[in-house]
Amino acid sequence: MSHALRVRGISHAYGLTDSLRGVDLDVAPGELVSLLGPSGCGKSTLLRVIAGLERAATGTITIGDALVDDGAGVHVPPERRPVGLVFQDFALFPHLTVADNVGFGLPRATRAARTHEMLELVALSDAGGRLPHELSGGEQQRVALARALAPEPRVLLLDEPFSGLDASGRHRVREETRAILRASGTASVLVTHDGDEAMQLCDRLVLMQAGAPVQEGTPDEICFAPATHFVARFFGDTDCHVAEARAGRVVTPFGSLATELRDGPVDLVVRHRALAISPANAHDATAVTVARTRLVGCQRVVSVITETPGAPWTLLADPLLPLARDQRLQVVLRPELVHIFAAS
Amino acid sequence: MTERSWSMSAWAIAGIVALPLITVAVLGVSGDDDGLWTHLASTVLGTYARNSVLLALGVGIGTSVLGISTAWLVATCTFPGRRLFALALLLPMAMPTYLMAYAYTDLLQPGAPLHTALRELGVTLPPIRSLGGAIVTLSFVLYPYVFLLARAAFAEQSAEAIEASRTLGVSPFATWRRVALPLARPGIVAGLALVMMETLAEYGAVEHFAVDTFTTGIYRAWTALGSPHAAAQLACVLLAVVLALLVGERLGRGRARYSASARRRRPLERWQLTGARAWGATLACSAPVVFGFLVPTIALARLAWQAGVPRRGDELPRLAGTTIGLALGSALLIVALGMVVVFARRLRPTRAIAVAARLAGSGYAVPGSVIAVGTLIAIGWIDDALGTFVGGTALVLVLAYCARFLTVALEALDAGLTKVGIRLDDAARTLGAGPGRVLRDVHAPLLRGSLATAALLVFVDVMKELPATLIVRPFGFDTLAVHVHTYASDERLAQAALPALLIVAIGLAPVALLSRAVDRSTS
Amino acid sequence: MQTRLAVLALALTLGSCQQDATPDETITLNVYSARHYDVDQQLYDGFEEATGISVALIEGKDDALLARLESEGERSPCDVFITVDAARLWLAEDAGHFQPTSSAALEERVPAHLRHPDGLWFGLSTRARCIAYSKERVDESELSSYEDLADPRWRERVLIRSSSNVYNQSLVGSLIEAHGVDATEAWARGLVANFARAPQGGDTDQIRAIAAGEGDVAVVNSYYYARLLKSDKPEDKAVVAAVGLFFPNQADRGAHVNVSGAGVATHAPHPDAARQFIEYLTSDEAQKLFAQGNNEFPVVDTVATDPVLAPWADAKRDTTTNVAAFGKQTRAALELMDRAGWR
Repeated sequence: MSHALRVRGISHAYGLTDSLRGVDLDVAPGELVSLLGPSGCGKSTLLRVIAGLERAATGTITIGDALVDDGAGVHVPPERRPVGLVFQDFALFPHLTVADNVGFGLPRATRAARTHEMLELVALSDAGGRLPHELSGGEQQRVALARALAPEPRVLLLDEPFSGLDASGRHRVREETRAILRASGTASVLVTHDGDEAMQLCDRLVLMQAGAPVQEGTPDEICFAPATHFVARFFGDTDCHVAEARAGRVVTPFGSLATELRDGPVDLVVRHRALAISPANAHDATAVTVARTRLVGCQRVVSVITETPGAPWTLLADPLLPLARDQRLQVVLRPELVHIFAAS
Repeated sequence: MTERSWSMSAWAIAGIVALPLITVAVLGVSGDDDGLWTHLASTVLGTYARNSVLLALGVGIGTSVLGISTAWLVATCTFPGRRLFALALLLPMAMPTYLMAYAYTDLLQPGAPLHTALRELGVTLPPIRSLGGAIVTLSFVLYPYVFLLARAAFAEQSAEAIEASRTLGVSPFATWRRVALPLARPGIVAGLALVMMETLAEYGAVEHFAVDTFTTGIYRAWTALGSPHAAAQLACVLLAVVLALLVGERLGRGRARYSASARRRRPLERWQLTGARAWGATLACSAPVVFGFLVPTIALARLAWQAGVPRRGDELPRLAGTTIGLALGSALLIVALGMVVVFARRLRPTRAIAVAARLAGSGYAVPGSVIAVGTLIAIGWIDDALGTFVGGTALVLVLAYCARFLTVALEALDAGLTKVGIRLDDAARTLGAGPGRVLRDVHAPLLRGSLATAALLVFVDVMKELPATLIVRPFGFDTLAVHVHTYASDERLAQAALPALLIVAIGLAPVALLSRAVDRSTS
Repeated sequence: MQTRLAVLALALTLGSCQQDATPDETITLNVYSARHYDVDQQLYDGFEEATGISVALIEGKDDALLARLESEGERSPCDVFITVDAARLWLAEDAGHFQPTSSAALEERVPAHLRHPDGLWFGLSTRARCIAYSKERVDESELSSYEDLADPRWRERVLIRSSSNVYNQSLVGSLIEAHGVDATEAWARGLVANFARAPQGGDTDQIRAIAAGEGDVAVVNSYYYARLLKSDKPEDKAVVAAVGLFFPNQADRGAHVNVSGAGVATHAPHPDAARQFIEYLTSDEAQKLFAQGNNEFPVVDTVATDPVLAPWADAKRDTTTNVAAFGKQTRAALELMDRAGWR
């Protein structure tokens, strides 16, 4: 199968600092891929390099069958690359109506028909004559999406397209976006720093750190088999504890875990879901004391202290379960949700 | 057109426009000046330097006081006549500096009726033809540059910054000094830069006021002493001073930023002035209009009235036509060229393009007579090489104007373009629009105000221009300014008064339009 | 589209200022003139009436026009170059901007000392650099010569315009010719010490300043005084009532005279028309205009000096100092004035 987008060994520097260091990326037709990472990891730069708004220092970019950048002689200008780009702040032309914005990238002959079609796709058929500032944030986002998709790009690039929206509407807009992208069948690359967003929208995630990908895979792979400490901690909801590996085992207050690491100090990255409250007197349970509870988004987050000295552990409990400070609990640890890395 | 060809065009424009300056620089460093530099250095150079520095400093302070105070009042307060002053305070722009000098010396020099009347009342004015006289009159006619840019800067300030300061317990005046003023600094400095460059390049008025500056010295070295080399050397010193000033400002600004970061900003609410304060504001705004426009206009009108039917009056319509045609044509061309340079720099913000833009814009600080000589000589070389005779066509004049006034267009366009988010360019590019289409379909409509501002500023400047026009104009290109100068240099000011008033009148329309363009972009 | 419109507008506006192309049969004579007098247009109109040749004109300061001739070289469209200053005639001659013209009429009418021996240029009118004085505070008998103005008794009483002015440069040039550089510099220092105020304004301003009590004596061109004499304005009448005019150096070489002259440009496209033009400027008709319109002294003896200058018609004017002498001394004169602090 040919790729919609193929990126090989792309490097880029802003002044003296490297922003991209030998990045590879493949996107299949129709696939939705997310570039995920903290701010400054180079994900937006990669997007701009793909779009042709920045020049790569080395490496090649192929869109469809066309080589558009080889870091040397070939640099196809952005307007001649079959890519669409949705901007963080949408970058709608303030002097043009919604319809004129959507039709901006279209040839005159098909402009009216295709604009109409796209407005229908994003459910804004009635808004064609309005100006961008007269629309809500979510509507503006849909106009930006329709505008980028209108010229039928091979690859659609989305640069943090939801960050300008209110938290309450964001989830709905993401669902709408996912539906629109699926309906259009366009290969898409979404840049975000929000793991939830990436997982909600995309088939495949690429985690980036300091200008290079550290792991890529399906949401399940990333979640259950993180390649590094960084990846494991990226989605939040984790505790980190130090321990010691000895002869293939790591001892925790909740029993020992198998490891392939050599003997020495290790970091345990423990997902909050790893600890579960078990019925009293379960044979493999360990007793802990509640140090503090709080409600976060209708989940009860509980900090507990073990009898062996060390940092508190976090677990998620049923919000209806009455829990008080200093209450004793029995908990079990699920090893699948604990990731062990050699201490850094 | 590709990005590359835009860069090349920008360089080509910069090269052509900087040609007169480069010629001057080449002259300055090459050739034999026959010991003239040593002579100048040991006799008059000190005076030139002292007067130029004091003049620029004095006019800088004068225009700051007049421009900033009135800009702040008009932009952020309400008081009787505020809306009228938004326009009226720009009127002195239509008054050429040399007319200002003619009018005020005619009123206030010894023997003049006003001078005599005051003396009989026991008031002896300090001599008007002096450094002090030059500073005061130039300040009253050049402050609109500061007013224009400072007003926009004040109007764009967000309420948040001011409110933040007040909630931190800072008094209104201290807030103005510590927050509003520093935030408006880029606008004020841009205006002041134009004023200082204009002042350093000023010829007609300072010569009339008998103040020897670098500019008059350059003219004298070139004409009376007959040494283009010495003139070019003096011009190079002047140019170096201007560049140092500009660099100094950049360094002084350091890493501070002046644009607000918040995305949705609430505009300032106007400060309602009442009672004595309100009338004080009205008075403060009236003074510059009265002294920078009304008094000289009335003085000229009185002269024109006394002179009666002017000699060669039948030529005035033709001269006015030439003046307007030249100003309009040059304004359109200069704005178009400026747009190419500004756009090329935005397409590829490389150091090379930035240098090209600087080069293309450095002519404003150079006296018109120097530009003119540079143009004549450069065109002479080109004509020699190509066997053409560009030297006899209006092209020389247009080239001289471009060299002199491209900066004005660059400043205005730059200010406008920075307000158009770069993301819009990216959006257009990824939608398949080439650079040309970005310029046409995105920038041009969004920059209408800035384009108009640039064109109007250049129009007014070209219309007032005298020294370069005087030296390089081909046959049939006499302007009103030239006509005025002919009579003034024959010591028949009364005969020059009517055409002088005509210059002012022609300047009024673009100034009024300018005021509207600015109103629209800041409201 | 917008760009195309802009270009079109530009072409139209520039085109509209362009003069109509001249039909082949009529000639337009191109004149570079440093004269800036009101009467000049009448001279050009008169010439066109007499010959059918129209005159296209560039007016400017002598030096600016010289620089322009220089840069235009052999492509210059200039036919005739007119100066208001003798030194500039010599400078133009020295730089090779004039071609010889032989004209019996000119040779007959213009006295030999007011034209170049090879016909490179011809004087058109002369003007004397005189001393204006306050009738109230100065007795005419106190006045004698330019040299005397450096005497300490004139301390803070002398008015004169800037050293950038060509008339002053030629005057100082004539003094150098008479006394040498050192003596003239000493004179200049004395004169500067006597200045009533920093040099400023034009000659008329100096005359008015005497009336206003700013100073007691001033060095001015004769025709500016004459112009005030002819004025109907009451304030001008008051000025001339208070100010007298004196022709200095009557005991030796006479009052310093400067020449406004013209020559045919080296690369003149129409040398014949140019010669006709200069001939016309020395005709009685034209000379009358110089005399009456601008109160200059005509170069031909068939035309009388204007009646307002009649009282001085017999005053001795310096006809011995050669025009070339001023020209050669210009640079020395300027440097000397710089050193003396004459702004």
